[in-house]
Amino acid sequence: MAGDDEIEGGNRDEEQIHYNSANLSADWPFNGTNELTNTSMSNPMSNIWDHHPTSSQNLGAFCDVNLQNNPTTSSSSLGFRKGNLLVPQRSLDMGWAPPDSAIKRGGMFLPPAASAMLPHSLSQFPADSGFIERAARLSSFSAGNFEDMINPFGNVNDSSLSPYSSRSVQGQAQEGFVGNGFKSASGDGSKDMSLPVDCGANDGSQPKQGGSGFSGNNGTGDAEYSEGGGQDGNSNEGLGSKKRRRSGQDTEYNQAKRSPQTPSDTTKNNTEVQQKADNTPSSLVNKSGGKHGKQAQSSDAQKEEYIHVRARRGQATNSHSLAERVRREKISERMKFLQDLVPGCSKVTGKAVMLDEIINYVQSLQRQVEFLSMKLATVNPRMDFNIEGLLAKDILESRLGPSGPLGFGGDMAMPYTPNQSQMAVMQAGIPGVGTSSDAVRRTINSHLMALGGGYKDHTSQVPSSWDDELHNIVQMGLNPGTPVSSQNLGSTPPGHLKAEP
Amino acid sequence: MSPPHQPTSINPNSLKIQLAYRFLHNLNNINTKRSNLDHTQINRKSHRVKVAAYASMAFVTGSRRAWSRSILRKIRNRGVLARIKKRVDHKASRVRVHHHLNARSTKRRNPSCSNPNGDYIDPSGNLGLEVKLRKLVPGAVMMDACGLLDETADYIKCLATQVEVMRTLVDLYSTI
Repeated sequence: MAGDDEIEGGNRDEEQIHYNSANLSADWPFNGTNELTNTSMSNPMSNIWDHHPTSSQNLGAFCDVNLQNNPTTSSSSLGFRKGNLLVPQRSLDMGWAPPDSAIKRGGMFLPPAASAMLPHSLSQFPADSGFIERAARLSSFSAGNFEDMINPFGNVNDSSLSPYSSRSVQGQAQEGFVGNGFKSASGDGSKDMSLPVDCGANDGSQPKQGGSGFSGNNGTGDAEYSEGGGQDGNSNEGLGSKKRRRSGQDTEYNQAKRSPQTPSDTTKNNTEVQQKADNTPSSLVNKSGGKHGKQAQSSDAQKEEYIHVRARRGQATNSHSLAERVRREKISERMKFLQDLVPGCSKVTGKAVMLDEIINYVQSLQRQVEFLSMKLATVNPRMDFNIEGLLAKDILESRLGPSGPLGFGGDMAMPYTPNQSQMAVMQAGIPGVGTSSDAVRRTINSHLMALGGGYKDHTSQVPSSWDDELHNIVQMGLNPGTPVSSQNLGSTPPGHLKAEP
Repeated sequence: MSPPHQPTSINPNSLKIQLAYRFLHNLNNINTKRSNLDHTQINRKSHRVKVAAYASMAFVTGSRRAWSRSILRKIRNRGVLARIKKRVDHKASRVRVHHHLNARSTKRRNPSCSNPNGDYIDPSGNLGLEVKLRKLVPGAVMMDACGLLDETADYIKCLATQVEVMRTLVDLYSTI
């Protein structure tokens, strides 16, 4: 303990600089308030580096990684900084012992840093006495607990550096400290309170690595818990069973309220304990949220242990009901898509009403088809219709070839087909209403050949819209005298005409 | 044109173009096959145009969708049936074929599938709405709700495009 103070005091200034230089490179949005904490945090970190060269390197790397990983949200980065401040205080006493163990474990770099940071934070917060009390209390725990307690710090590191199983626990432990710290500090203000809260947030954002699958979830859960009650609730819902898997280390950080538990101990307790700790600070920040978070978490934790599909709060977790829920979600997703398709259905909610609208729309579309077909039959009783169809068919057969319309790229034959159909219309006008389809076809082909390449100009002007093309067809039909440049119409051998089905 | 499993991947422009060409193709076929179209009843012709429209829709969509498959099947059956009946009895078959054609759009060709559209309440409590939809969308009678909605979406998309093509053609021809 004395050594701790020594270390903290001596290296504070130096390491502050080190840390700042190292960490400022990360995108931490430092506020005025945060800078103070940041510097304090930097000191402990650099302290650790000095005292534990091996770990310091890792820690530095971790700090950078952490910092870089956390710029996503100012709150999370804030939390990280603040959390580091507070947590180290507590772990300071234990920090020096546990760092060895942590290092042994191979991943706990942060705890030493945290412990080093304690002195700074202690100096900054008027409630240092409270922290020290907790540190003492924590130090009274068994050595295994120390390791576990340190884990939260190392957890943050681990998440970024190496996949240690204690990751999640560490994060939660961190939060536990924070909560405790807040409890004692209480009067420090929102800033302090938010510090440890965000600590968890950092943790949450970090642990996405493989390791144990639940660790990531736990981290996020922790982060969310710390951030606020409302968030806690959400996070709880999202995390579900995975939170239960948290090691017992979480409980340790809940201040002297309960005996420390080994990481392998009941995860439930850990989650609950952690939630308590989280709830405390969160209650200071957001009372209702913490309660919700805890309740949600416990309820979620109790709900599913091994199922990877998350059951929402208040929902049955029977495998049948889960499958049913998945099926319902699929159906609702399709209904949403249909909503976009059917015009004027954006405000409609409810499956039955939506179905009704869809049915009406389909019926109206079918009626429209019928009406339009009747109109087409009346409007175009002549063979112009056929000729155009003939030409289109010929073009289809010649252009599309064996691939058929399905393989139709659309753009390739497009410039040709409209022109050819235009010419078809033109041709139709010339021979008049054909007597037999073959005769008409022959006439058309001959005319097409005569016209040559035809409408290269038109091909280059591929109309943007289909309507334009059709209008071009009409225009071509009305202007048979338009000069036609040579085209690949010759590529349409008359033999293709016979290939009609 | 589009992956078979994604309902949203059909490019409306390319679909429109393909539909248009296919529709013209079918119209032409119908007009050429039955040369008595032009001067016979408008009803018959309009019905054939409608059949051509659905056929072009189904052809463009191909076998990817159940509704297109069912339409194609109906058309082929109708064609085969018509040919058989023509051989048996020329006049009578034509009448029967027309009757069948008239009934094609909303019912399955198979007479055994004639379900009365009762408003009985489904187990799902949909008041028979779903059944109605199943009847409207061809080939979706024996499908689960998820697939039914998929088919409906695709069918609506294709139907809307076909309507657009036909409307454009009508405008085109009416302005000539």
